[in-house]
Amino acid sequence: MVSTMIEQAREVQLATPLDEKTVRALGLGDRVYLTGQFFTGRSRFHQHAIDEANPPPIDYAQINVLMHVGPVLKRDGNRWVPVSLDQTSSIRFSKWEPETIRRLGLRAIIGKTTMDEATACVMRECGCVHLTRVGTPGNLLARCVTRVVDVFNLEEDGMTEATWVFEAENLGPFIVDIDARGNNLFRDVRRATELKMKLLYQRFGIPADFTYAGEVSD
Amino acid sequence: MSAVVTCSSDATANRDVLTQQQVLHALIAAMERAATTVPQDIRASLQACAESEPSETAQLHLLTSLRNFDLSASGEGLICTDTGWPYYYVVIGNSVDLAGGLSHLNDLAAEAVRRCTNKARLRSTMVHPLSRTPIDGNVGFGFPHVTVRHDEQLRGMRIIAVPKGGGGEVFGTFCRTMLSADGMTGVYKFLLDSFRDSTYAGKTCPPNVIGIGIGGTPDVCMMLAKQAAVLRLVGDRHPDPEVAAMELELLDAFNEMGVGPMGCGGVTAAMDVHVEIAATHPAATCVAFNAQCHIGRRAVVRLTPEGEQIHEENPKWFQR
Repeated sequence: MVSTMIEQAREVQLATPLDEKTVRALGLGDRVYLTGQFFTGRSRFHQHAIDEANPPPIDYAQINVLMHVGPVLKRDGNRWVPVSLDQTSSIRFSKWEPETIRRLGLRAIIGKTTMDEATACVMRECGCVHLTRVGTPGNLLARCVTRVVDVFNLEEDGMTEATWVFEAENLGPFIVDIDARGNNLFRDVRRATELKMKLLYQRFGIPADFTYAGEVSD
Repeated sequence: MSAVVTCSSDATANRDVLTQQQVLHALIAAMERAATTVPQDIRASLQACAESEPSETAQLHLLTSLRNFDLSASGEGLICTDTGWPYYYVVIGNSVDLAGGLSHLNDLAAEAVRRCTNKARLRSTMVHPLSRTPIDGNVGFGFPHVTVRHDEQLRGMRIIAVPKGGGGEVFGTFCRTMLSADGMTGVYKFLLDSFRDSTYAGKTCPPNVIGIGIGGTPDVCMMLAKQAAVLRLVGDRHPDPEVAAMELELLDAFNEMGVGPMGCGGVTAAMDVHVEIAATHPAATCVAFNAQCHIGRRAVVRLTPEGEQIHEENPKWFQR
């Protein structure tokens, strides 16, 4: 068994926008529920916001939670109705995220997996956390969305890559996997896995310094 | 297998002709079911995993997924938002024909995917690889991808729909052609490293079903790994005892890494391991690894010669 701090998990209800003090009080493994507004973004959002220096016109001081997700919604007359909301892998946005957190003043990023060390450093410096999804919760989370507030770049980028602004009630739980104090849940698991790997290499007769035949070394 | 049959009475007489409507509706039914209803073997396996996980967090991951599946099965939402790349695997009985010719199968698959996308059963996910602009209805540029196999015994058609999500596919696909000097040591190193790297931080949404190809050329090897991951039931063992033993040995090893559900730590990160083999060249061994995420999306619809749809669980894909 991998031992992490997660077993002392607390359930935390938070209202958005999040302030720095609240975010810095969050600990690894806390189970967070959010009420209020948040926005969505994937590759296209980050390209607009950072590469083109043209983020969608959202009041980021008031809406300071970014969710990595390409939601499914359906049309009901003039209304958009959320169908499914499973978060995508955050690690693939790492190259943009330190700058995004700084420029937009984000306090929480909800996604899947983790983010790189550079992003974790900026989170610690600015007061921001990464929250990871629990299982595959997309239908349960779609139920928590009470209003589709706005959408940007829908025509150009399509439903999946557009930036949506949603309002939700008790959206969660999400697990704090990178807190604002330098802790990282998945890094802890990885360290434990590396110890197990050594034993497995031994069991399968794989030398620690194994290199594939034909690989050129200089 | 030893002789070429020069004349078969069955192959030319008494053809069963399915209409294009019958096949289209079966293709739609299979894809809709795959997007909304988790296969029985996957559900049972996740339930068993949840019961054996000592950590509350690991249990929470699995029990949340199971609750989520209940909603989509009852018509609310999807098993997972990322419906990914749409695949069809179609087994065609020797005596069956499609009105207008079997060449229309790809067009019907495309129409089925377009309709599923318009009904929000599939997310509008596919984009052009260069411009990155959305591809209307997830149709075009090679997708939906349709693989056909023929079966002498089958009456009618068996249609298997697999929407393959990005987590398993993007982060859980590896292939290496190694020289035979590396032997099985190289094969095991490649597989252990692949599992560790793919499941890190829950990238492939573990617990996974892992498909492995050994032998063949890289394209054949990767095809075997993909099909092993998505077209065999959890608990199914390869008929060759040597291969079956390898499956179980790897299953134990993968789970001993402690990666756990969604990479958060725990005792189960793989529900099963399926290995398929192909003939190789004396100089080399190709090894391929493909991960199916824990939702294990697949649905099987058998279309009888009369055009009736029957839901089945077992794809019965491999002929060895």
